[in-house]
Amino acid sequence: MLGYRHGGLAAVTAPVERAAPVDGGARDLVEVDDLKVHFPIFGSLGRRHGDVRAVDGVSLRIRRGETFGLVGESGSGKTTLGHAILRLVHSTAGQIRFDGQDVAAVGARELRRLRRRMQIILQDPYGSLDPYLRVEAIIGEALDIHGLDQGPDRKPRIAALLSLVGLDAQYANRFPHAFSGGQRQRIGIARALAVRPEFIVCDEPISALDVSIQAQILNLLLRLRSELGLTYLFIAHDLSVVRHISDRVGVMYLGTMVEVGPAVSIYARSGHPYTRALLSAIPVPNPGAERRRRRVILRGDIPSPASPPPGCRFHTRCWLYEGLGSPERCRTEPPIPRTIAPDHQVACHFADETLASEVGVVQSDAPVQVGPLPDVPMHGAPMPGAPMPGAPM
Amino acid sequence: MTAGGVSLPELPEPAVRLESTPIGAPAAARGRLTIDGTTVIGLVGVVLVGGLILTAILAPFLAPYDPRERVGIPFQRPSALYPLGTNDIGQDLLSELIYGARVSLTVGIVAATVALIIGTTVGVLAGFYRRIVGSVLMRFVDILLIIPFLPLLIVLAAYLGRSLLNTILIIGVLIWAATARVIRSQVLSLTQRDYIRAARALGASDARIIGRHILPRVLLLGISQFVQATSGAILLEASLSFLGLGDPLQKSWGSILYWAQVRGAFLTDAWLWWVLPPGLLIGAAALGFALMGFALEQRINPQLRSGR
Repeated sequence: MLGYRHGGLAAVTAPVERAAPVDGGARDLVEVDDLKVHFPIFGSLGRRHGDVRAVDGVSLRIRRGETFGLVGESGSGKTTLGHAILRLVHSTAGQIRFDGQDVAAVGARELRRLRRRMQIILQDPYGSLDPYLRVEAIIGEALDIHGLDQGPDRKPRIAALLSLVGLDAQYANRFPHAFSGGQRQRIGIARALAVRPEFIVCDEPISALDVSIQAQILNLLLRLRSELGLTYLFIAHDLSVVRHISDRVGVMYLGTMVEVGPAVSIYARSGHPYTRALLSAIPVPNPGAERRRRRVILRGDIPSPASPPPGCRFHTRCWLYEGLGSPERCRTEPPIPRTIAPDHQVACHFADETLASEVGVVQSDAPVQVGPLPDVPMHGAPMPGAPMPGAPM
Repeated sequence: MTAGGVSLPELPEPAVRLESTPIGAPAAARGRLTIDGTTVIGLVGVVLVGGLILTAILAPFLAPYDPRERVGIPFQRPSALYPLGTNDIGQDLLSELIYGARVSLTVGIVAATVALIIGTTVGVLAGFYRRIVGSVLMRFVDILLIIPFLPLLIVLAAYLGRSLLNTILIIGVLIWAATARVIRSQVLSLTQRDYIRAARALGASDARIIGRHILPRVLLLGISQFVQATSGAILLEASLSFLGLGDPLQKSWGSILYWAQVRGAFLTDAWLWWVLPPGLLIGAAALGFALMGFALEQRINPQLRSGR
């Protein structure tokens, strides 16, 4: 792990001592087992009508230092899952362990300690910063809560954090309304980094941004990951964004995980019709391949998570289900995840048929660019590596 | 940048301009100084209230006599000596009126403060802990709002005894319910904001979130509620005093009306100088605060800020 070093900032952003992991680092950082998050629906007379099953039996592992990409449509439960890991929503059943500790069971004090180690970057940069507080107070709040860098260290530390995310330290006394969406998102990232976390849930951090800004923020997150040794849970609603940043990818549909596997494996040989449909929606930057691209357009909206379809939840919209003549199994029997490639699980009765299909397979003559996008330095921001104002040498 | 009709050359704009007005409020709430209907209404309220407050403060200099002293023959008509005549025991009515502003305004403002404190506390708690605490508190608020006001007020006043402090407390604990409702709804919306979620993720305690992100945001709303509550409190104090349930030792506008009623002034010519002036002042005070509160609410309450 590289620790919190950036430029000459080691003095103010030195890594904190971490408790040794329970079993020598072999354990996954985040372990989620059969997690369920249900929200009750109450009727007019306070009677419980049922539950919205936002997350309904999801298991996943996030390894130290990796980026786990989580994709799915709106309403698939991916954000709820991310929030549940940080205990921003209460889980109904199942287990969440962070570095071996049961997140749902820890007391208030222990939870605070845990929250120093895991953070969140929220989707909407306009809503995630208190409009009445200056940037200094927004970032400083994170420090104050945990009693970090108080007194004379506070100002330089905030300046260092701003520099770390590519903002000029002199912006510290501005209010959020003075910033653009991308700049606000950088402030949100600085706030998350203030407590020196190990794990960050990136909850669609670039969905609300201009396309031109998305690459900047994505690259910033990539840079921070390697510089600070971070582990990410990266939530997004389309696969093309996730491909640039993830080591492993999970695809969620209607509260369940339908496919998990290494990013390369998912993009090359996905075994789930839903993943294929998502993949087929990615435009290919190659006119020839783009013309040959077989697209599947999913009809209708995602069904209500209050009454999910029986059997395989995707069968109501599945192109393969139609193609196979509506097999009864899909309607009656929930598919159990099975391994189709190393480290690659799929929850589909007909994964083999999916694998044989050409839907969503990228057929290009030239390799598709998968590397990081070119980093465009922000206007007025210091270049990475430039001496940081306010940082003690 | 124009001076005397001559436009001066603009200064070159800096490439990145981040000069912010150092006011934290969102653009609309900061409010450009435009004279619209709301502003005029608010200004009328300010003038009315300001005039009355000045009168109350300067009472010793404005009043021709000590209102407690018998300075003339009872039941006199207005004259040069006694501009509004004298009451049933020969006290100067104008002096009573001027000093009465003190009691009416004090009761109004202090009772509204009591209401503001209770209402804000209940509203914030009910909005923040909306499940159990919130349900219980809001059912209580519903009950308070449903109970016919004046009878309860009379019963309480009669039971607790007639003193200025009792009047204030009784009014205060009865009128906070509306404030609590308004504050709660604002808190409900605030707690759904992403920055509250971010603060929670950072490990902020409830106390910190309330103190730092919620209370400062509902305070403006609280002020507009406070001003409106003052208006109501002044009317309630007048009602209580008129019914003879006010502090017998204090001269308020309501108690002047009480004695006018008891001595039959309502049935004679004396209503013109004994009944009308305190009535008008009560109306002016209540109206002044109500207008101010209305204008403030128009400015502050995002639901009412239309067409902006």
